[in-house]
Amino acid sequence: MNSNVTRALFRDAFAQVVDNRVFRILLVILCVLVLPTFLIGARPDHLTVLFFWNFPYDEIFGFFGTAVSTVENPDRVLVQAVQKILTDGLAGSFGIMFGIAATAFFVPRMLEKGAADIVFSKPVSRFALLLTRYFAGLIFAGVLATTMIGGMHLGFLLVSGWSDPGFLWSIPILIYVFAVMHAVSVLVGVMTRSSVAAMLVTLVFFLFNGGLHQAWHVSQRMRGESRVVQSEPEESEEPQDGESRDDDEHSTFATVAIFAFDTAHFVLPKTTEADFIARSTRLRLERRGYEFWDRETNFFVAEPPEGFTREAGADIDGGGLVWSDTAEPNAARIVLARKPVLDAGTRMGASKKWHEALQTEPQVVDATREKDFRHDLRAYVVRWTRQDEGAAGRRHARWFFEDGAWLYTFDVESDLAWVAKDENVGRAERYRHRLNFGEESVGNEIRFDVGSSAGAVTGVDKRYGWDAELKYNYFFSIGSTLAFIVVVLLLARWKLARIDF
Amino acid sequence: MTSATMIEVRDLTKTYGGGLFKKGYRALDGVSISVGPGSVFGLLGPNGAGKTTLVKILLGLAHKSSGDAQLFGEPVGTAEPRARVGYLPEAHRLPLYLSGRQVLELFGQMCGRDLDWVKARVPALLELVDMTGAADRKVREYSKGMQQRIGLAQALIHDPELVILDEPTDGVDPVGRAAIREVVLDLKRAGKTIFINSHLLMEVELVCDRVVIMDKGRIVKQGTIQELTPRTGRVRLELSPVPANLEHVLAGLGSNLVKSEHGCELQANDNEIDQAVDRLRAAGISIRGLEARRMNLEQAFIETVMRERA
Ligand SMILES: Nc1ncnc2c1ncn2[C@@H]1O[C@H](COP(=O)(O)OP(=O)(O)OP(=O)(O)O)[C@@H](O)[C@H]1O
Ligand SMILES: [Mg+2]
Repeated sequence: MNSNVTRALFRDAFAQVVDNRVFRILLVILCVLVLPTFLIGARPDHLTVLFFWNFPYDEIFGFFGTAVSTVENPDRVLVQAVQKILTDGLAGSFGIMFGIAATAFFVPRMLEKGAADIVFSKPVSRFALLLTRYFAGLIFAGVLATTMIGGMHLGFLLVSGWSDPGFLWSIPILIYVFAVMHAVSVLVGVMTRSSVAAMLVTLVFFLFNGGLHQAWHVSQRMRGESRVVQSEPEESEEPQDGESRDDDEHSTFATVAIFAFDTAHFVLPKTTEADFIARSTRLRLERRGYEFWDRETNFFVAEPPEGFTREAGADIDGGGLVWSDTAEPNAARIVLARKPVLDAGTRMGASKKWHEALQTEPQVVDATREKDFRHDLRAYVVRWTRQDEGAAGRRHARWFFEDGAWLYTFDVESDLAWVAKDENVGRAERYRHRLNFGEESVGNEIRFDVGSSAGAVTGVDKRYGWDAELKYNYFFSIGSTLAFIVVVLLLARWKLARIDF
Repeated sequence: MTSATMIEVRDLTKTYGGGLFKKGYRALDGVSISVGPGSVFGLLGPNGAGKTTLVKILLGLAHKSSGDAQLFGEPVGTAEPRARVGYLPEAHRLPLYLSGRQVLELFGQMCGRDLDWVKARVPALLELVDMTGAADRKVREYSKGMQQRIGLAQALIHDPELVILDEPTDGVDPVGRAAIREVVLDLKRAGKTIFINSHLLMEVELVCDRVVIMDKGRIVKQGTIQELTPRTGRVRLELSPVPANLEHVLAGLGSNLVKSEHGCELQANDNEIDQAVDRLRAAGISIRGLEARRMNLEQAFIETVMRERA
């Protein structure tokens, strides 16, 4: 095709989008949503309106009875919350649905009697003309997504001084999801030549497809978790191993249903996973600067404990990651290590064994073992004091917790003298506070992102990844989704070629 | 490139909506026509005759069921030959979101022309269809006739060799119709081939060289305008002066003599006309005009169609 033709078709697609009333209304609405990010800046301890008026958080939120100043980096929390709600929540669902509704008429209108006669009598293939309407839809989604997310990003950057480039990933992801839906809309439009049909069928498909994948993911998670739960009932001594018989008990019906379910998941576009891809890409960008991040398990430590320095050369799978007090390296240490559950036992078994072993040692006093199931992280903690001869006593605490196939131990040990020091009292206190793993506080802390409990933090099942097995693999996810788009468009092409206008 | 024929259709049939179990509707039934370069060709027929269907097959808008159809010697259905055709569809709808000027630019480019080339040509075409004033308004604001005018301009924007006009004067006021006729004649003078579908027979009569009359998917008659409009046998004479005793002078010649202010009309054969002229001259009467009355195309058309249906 001649480049004049291509250029003309693109200009036409663009003209159609810009002329669209819904597009213009949405554009205005989005600008209204974005505008506050330019007008209101979130600073570490106050909001600033129009660069001039400052409102401390405590004054604003005081009457809610919450002291915001206890939250570290409230500006960051605020900005992230706003971005999350608008991009993941609004744009990802309502935005896509609005887009579907607003672009559904693109193809049917081109195929109307009279309109089609002019356009399809030009020396351009029918499929090329159809593709321009497809791209018009993508332009529609792209401009709106870029306006909103890019605009918000710019506003936060300029006025709040806060930039989270990971969120820009939402732009291609939104276009990606819309590309799937618009392809369906184009196909239905060609089949029925009706805007209403194209819109309704696509909306139903959007909801159905999303629901199906959500259900599939939940079912996957349940299939995974039921094993863990069965194999380790808390504080009940006898281990069970009844899980392998499970599969035999499925009826034929269930087998067929599961097969159909899986097949649907494999064949249909995986728009739900687009969200995972966006979030894990976002995380990846964010975590590159972390104190420690294990890509494979997605286990990370955001920042070193305050006043501690990590010792070089340590390895989480060997002797463990070691941090020592920056001022008095020998006085206090923190060690994070892990071993496969198969070798080291479960958190319950291992902690119990450790506790029992301590009781046989004469130098050890005050050994206790308790459940620490606060927050998301389920751990057993063993505490003890060791009083070696000639030396000052040393206080220990060791948390045992599991993530997938790994048993983690988190040790904090310090001289009694160190603990007693005034400046360390607060530190130790704070430090203990920070050992509330998984607590959603942000700042100078050790933050753990472990396995399914990470769901609360990241929402991404860590089985997914760029190098995961096929059904969790992002390349497969994207590839099969693109294949779906291509197949749908080819079907539309097939149908279009057979129409008598 | 000059092809021997611009349009070549042989034994063309088209059945709409036919399927495995449906019989479908036969809109074209063994149509053959051939249109050479440089002529103005008129396709006539009552509503539903299949005129538009024939044109749509030529332009790849509909698929033929059997037979053979060629544009410029190439089988229809491929995109390339269409670059040399300008088409004004019946009851067309232009993209509402563009202005008249943008429509012309878009379609000119879609036919493979450079934007600059198109832009340079647009003003003359707008002038031609008398739309210069409204060129920058959106199509959605146009009246029916204005859309028709821009429709005609877009059919000509890329300077095509063959122009196919389906009901070109539909919705256009009388002044506009005359203008469109002028456009057609200009195109003809420029050596273009024009194919007109119409049931406004006056139009066709005034511009077409060859005419085909179709009904119910078949060709019922074709030929030049002359051939299609036989003489009625009546002759009109313009005389000066008109003698009071005209009946007497022409006594015994022809029949149905009707006198009028400037002369008379009568039913007569060639031999009788010769004699009438002789007698009038002998009586010292000047003959200012003599015309063998023909059936007009409308009468011929109605007669042909009625005869065919009977
Ligand atoms: N897309 C279609 N599907 C089914 N039947 C059709 C279609 N288009 C035309 N027909 C039928 O084919 C026949 C010929 O239609 P066509 O439009 O060619 O007539 P026409 O000669 O152009 O009539 P008019 O003078 O009214 O424009 C009609 O009976 C019509 O009902
Ligand atoms: Mg017609």
